[in-house]
Amino acid sequence: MTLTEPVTEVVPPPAPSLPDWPADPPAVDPSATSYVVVAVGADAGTREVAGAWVADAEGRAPTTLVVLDAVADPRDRAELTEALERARTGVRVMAVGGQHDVLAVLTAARDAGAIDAELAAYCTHTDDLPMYCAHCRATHRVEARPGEEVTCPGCARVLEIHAHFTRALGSFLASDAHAAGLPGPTGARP
Amino acid sequence: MTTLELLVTAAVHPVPGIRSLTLAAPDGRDLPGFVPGSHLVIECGGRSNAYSLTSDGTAPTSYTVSVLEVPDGSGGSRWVHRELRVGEVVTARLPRSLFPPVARAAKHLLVAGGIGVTPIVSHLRAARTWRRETEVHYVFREGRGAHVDDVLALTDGAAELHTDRAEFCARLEKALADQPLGTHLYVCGPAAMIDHVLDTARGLGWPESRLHCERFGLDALDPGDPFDVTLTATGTTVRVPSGTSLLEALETSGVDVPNLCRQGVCGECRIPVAAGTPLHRDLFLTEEEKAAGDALMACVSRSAGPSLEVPL
Ligand SMILES: Cc1cc2nc3c(=O)[nH]c(=O)nc-3n(C[C@H](O)[C@H](O)[C@H](O)COP(=O)(O)OP(=O)(O)OC[C@H]3O[C@@H](n4cnc5c(N)ncnc54)[C@H](O)[C@@H]3O)c2cc1C
Ligand code: FES
Repeated sequence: MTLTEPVTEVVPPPAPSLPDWPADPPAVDPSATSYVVVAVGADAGTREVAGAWVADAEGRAPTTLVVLDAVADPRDRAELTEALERARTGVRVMAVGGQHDVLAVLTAARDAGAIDAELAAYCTHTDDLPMYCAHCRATHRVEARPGEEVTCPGCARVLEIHAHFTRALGSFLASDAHAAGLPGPTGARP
Repeated sequence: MTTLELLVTAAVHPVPGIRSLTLAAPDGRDLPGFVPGSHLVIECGGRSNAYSLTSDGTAPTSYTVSVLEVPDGSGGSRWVHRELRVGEVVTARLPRSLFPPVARAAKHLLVAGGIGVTPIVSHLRAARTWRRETEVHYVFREGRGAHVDDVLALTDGAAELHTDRAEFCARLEKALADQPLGTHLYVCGPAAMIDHVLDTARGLGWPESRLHCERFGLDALDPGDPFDVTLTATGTTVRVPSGTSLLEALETSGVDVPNLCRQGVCGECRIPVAAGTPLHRDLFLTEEEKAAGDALMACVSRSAGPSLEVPL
């Protein structure tokens, strides 16, 4: 008999299909031993929330503030990655910005090993989102909401954004608005 | 429930007070594989005790366990040390896993105290196979450390060995404060040590889901509050006084419940719960099974409220 990778594992609860954002910025978790506050974008709301978190967190434990213009920018991305690599277990990562950027920061933090108990987030708006195109197989930032149709910035197809947030991709899934279903595993149709 | 007949093919005393057994199928066939951190419940001369598997769980042809002699215990470990001979056959349950590694963990911080090293050895074997990053702290009494050679070999000498408790505690606190994001903690050893390690981790901001422990015994099982249990099949109600187990109370009133270990490890006395909230105190059910609240181990578990209903 051969065993493959052991399968008995702590299985995370199924991800909600839509992010459930808090109405107010969540409070700083007092049990942490360090904090990384990530603020994306320059709008006043983001600055205000990040400032309040930092003021509270600094009084409790060492706090790093990471201010980014855009998560997609390689330099900004590198700064975020470095802060997450420096972080030690016991940290709480708090992200604020528009929905697209907050989701991108949360995905980066999860990729770096963080779990939900270590993450907090606040969206200043939900006008944009990360969309994964099932046809060109890439994630794009689009100004739209789940259920709406957009033109894919990658492959120019008209896509419907499904009301389903996929954790593994850190994105909302979108597919050809005029096709019957999603393309099969063999890939895109012309 | 399936049992295994296992032939004792070798037995050694690697350090004073510890006997390591090699077990194999009498006809030499392959044995069931197991997840790292699993244990066997072995019938030990009238007792049924759990022993962690220290061997490799992938396609095993033999199992190894290491047993510490507890001289003033109920005799199971004494029997393994003094009665059991090479060439004899023991009866065991299939391997059971309550302490598995989290495959997605970025790093595994493994902390062992005394004989609690046994499941950690199993974790280390798997970590080597799957090239998982580990950090090991092992505290034991000078000259009494089981599996020290295995732990060193499996970590290329990187495991940190401690024989001084104060020094261990200081080092542990530093280690817990300096782990990369994504680390999971596994601890096995004496109850007080497990509590200390977990409390230190919690104090350093570790979320519960990163903490994993295996307890070898229920040393401080309190007598518990009295409660009533209603048997829905007959409509009778049985009183379970403080200090009497649910299993004993059922037996006294003529209800037979299959049982074996009577210490919450073998799974034999599991009974369904129709109403009421169980107070789980066993080492058999998984956290998920405990949370479901629809079954309990009658030998050690009780009722959280004044009454329980069971479909017996
Ligand atoms: C999941 C699991 C895995 C286990 N793995 C191992 C193992 O790999 N090796 C091993 O030697 N034992 C292991 N044990 C403990 C073992 O099952 C027995 O409890 C132990 O051998 C004592 O049994 P006994 O019949 O001699 O005495 P008991 O009367 O059963 O034990 C006497 C008392 O000592 C406590 N006790 C249990 N273990 C220890 C210990 N190590 N040191 C001090 N007190 C203890 C018990 O809780 C009990 O209160 C494991 C237990 C569990 C639940
Ligand atoms: S008799 Fe073994 S768990 Fe109850």
